[in-house]
Amino acid sequence: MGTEAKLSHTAAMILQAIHAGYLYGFSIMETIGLPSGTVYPAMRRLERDGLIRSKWERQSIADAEQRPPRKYYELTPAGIASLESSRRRYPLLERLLPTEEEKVR
Amino acid sequence: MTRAAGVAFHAIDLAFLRGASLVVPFPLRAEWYREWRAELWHVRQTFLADGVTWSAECQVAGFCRGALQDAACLRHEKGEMAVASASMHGSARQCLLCLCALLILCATVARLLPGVRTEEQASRMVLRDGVVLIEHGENQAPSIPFSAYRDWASRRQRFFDGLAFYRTDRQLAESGAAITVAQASDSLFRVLGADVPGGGEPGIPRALLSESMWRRMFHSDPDVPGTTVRIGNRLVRIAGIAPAETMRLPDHADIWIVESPEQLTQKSPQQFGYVIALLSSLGRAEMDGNAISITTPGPDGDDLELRGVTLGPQSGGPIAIYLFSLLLAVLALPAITSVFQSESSFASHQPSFRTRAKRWAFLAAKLGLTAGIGYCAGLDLAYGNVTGYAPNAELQQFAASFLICLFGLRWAIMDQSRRCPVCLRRVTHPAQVGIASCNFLGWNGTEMICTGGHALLHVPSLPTSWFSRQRWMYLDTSWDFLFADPARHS
Repeated sequence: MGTEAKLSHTAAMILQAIHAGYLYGFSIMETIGLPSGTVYPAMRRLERDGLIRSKWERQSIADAEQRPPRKYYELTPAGIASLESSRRRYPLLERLLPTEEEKVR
Repeated sequence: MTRAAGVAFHAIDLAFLRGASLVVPFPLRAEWYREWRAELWHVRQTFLADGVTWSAECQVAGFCRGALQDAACLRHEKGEMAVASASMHGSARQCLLCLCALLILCATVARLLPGVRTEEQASRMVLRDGVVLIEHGENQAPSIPFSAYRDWASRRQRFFDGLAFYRTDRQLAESGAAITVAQASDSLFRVLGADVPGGGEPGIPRALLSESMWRRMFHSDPDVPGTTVRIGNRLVRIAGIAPAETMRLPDHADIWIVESPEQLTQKSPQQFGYVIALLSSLGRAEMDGNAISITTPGPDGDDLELRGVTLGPQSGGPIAIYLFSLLLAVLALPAITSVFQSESSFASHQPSFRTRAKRWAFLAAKLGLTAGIGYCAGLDLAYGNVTGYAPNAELQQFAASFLICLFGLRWAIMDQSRRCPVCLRRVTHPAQVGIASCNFLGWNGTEMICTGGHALLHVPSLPTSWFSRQRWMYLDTSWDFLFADPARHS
């Protein structure tokens, strides 16, 4: 209940972007169209609150693609629950950033 | 825009990220920088896909500006760091670290000052036994004319094994600087028992530089001996550095010109100077303490009463001066502060023996460090602008050390009375309690609290018979919710 009350529109969009498959910082930022100074601090807070978690990509994968390794974010079960309640609060969220499955439907 | 410009912009972006990373709390910094650097790579790949343009670089720079906000956000949210910093603030450790840093700074400066080195060297130097300064009067002033010295030196002496004469005046060196020049008889260094280089050319007298002048005007050049310099209107050949024994002689010359008796006679035989004598065994037997009375026929036939005084150290060097000033400061301390700060406790609670021992050890450490700072800072202040031996600097050292020790020790004791007996942190948040005119048999004063939540300090504004001393009130666990500091529970 507390999480639902605290989640801002920016946080909800970030959760939705991650759920939609945009898994690293810059791709999330590009998707939701907010500046880096807003997106990254919001992601820090989401990670601190346990709604998302991060992990570094394996170096071998990055080396194969000749780029630096990315830090990927994923939703935690609490994050998924929060996203569900946010969707009820912000009905346009799903249409703004549909997942692949939602696009097919 | 060229590829080189793109590389330069990339370097600027990385430098900006590196600078922003300094805002991030240290444990998170490396990973934070790694993430932003990786993100910057993707940003540049996206925005600069069509080549390096000004607008694209502006977009990249805008992305990097967000790093600063992110870093500031992390710094702000790292609450425990702030608490850790708060627990350090006003702590005993912080106090001792500051005192140690100040002591190290003062000691380092003192080690580098040439005046301190010369003073220590002069204090260690001891003249040979039996060397006295013959003076007419009480103060060390030039009081013997050269003609009198020449007269004494020509006679057979029973009480002296040797006599020497020198006089000083201010002259201009080649550089135009005014220096103190001593013209000394060639017997001076033999009387002092010092070995000096001999030789020289006919007509050019040899000269010995004081160590301070050699450092100051010749920049410690080892090739100076053997060179010829002009002092006033005459040439002299530098034979070497004057022996340390000359530091004990009055007037502290910058250069000693060794003259033959004939050369000294040519220049105003009535000019006053100093006579240094080496007492024979018979003369030493006549010594009364550190002085000997001398009676000699004067120029008008009457007896002239003179006095020979030993040229021993007038002070025991910087250490002795400091110890004396420290002793005076300790004696004067009760006049400006209450040395034993009396205090009591509201409750029967008393800190453990270990806590009390720690408190006393902290006070002892503060007093020791303050006393050390008094010694080193006294040297710095007294000998900061002195390159050679300077008797006035000894007085300055005494005054500086005394004042620093006096007020430093006062601070250490006063500071102790404002520190929590449990955690040794300074009590803060002073609050005025009560109004004197509205109280009857109550108390009014200032209440301060330990940020660790251990105790409240009550200090009466107006000491009364029922509340004359400051009191500590120890806080129990019911106060815990007010304090976020984990140190309270330790």
